[in-house]
Amino acid sequence: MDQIQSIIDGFIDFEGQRLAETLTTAILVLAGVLAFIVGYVLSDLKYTVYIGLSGTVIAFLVVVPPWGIYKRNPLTYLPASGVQVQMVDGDADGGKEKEGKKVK
Amino acid sequence: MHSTLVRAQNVFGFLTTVAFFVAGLVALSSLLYPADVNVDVIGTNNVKIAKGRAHQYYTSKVQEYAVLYFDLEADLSSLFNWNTKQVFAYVSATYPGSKYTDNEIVIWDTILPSRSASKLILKNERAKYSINDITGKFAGRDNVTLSFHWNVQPHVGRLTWGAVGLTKGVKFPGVERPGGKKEAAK
Repeated sequence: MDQIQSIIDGFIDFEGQRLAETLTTAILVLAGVLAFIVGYVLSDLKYTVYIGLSGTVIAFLVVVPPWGIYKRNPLTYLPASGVQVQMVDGDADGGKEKEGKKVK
Repeated sequence: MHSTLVRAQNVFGFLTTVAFFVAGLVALSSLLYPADVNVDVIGTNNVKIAKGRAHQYYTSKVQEYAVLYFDLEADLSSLFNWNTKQVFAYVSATYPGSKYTDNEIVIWDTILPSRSASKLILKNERAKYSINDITGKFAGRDNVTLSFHWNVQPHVGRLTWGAVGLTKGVKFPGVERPGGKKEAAK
């Protein structure tokens, strides 16, 4: 059950998120530019539509599933100490959720 | 971008942005193709005026109809570029009047779906639509002008209209009588 949940969630690490963001922008912009140029040169809007749609399909396939390359920099947490740790003020923004998990 | 759902939403969201900009560029690219429509021949030398009863539900009065045949040679191939869906072309007749001063009747039209159909050569073509005046009488009117109009419908972008090829001074003749004599209008 946990395995199914993790496939659906598809969590990736922070470096992976940066890479996914860059790839989304790059693939879609490239597909858009290529679609316009090919359509213009071949003088048919059909090519523009199909190249644009293929770029979108590629972007979805590349970015959406949690591929291995998005999980190459996993965060390593300190081992749980078993001691109740007090939350420190000022660390409430980004790390809060993960801090909470660490604390049993 | 941490989970599948968020990544899918991000890709789709950016897709709409890219699609919007590409569509905008396509619409702008139409400006690179200026319209250069050649109308070589437009005119008529075969007009008759006949009296008839209107086949209309709101009136059955007898009125005058023009039976008009016209010639047209036009080349609209310059209107077809990568962003042209189809071109609507029509011929209209414009004439002055005393009570109603500006009158325009569309007498013929066609839809050109592709570049291969963009050359119009019509010889003695009969007007497609019945030609009658709002007052019911127009025999003997002078200065009838035939003009050729086109309307480009693009895939993306705005519609553009244009008109060329004006023939001045066509005259509607008198009413044709069954006996063959002509009766001039008052």
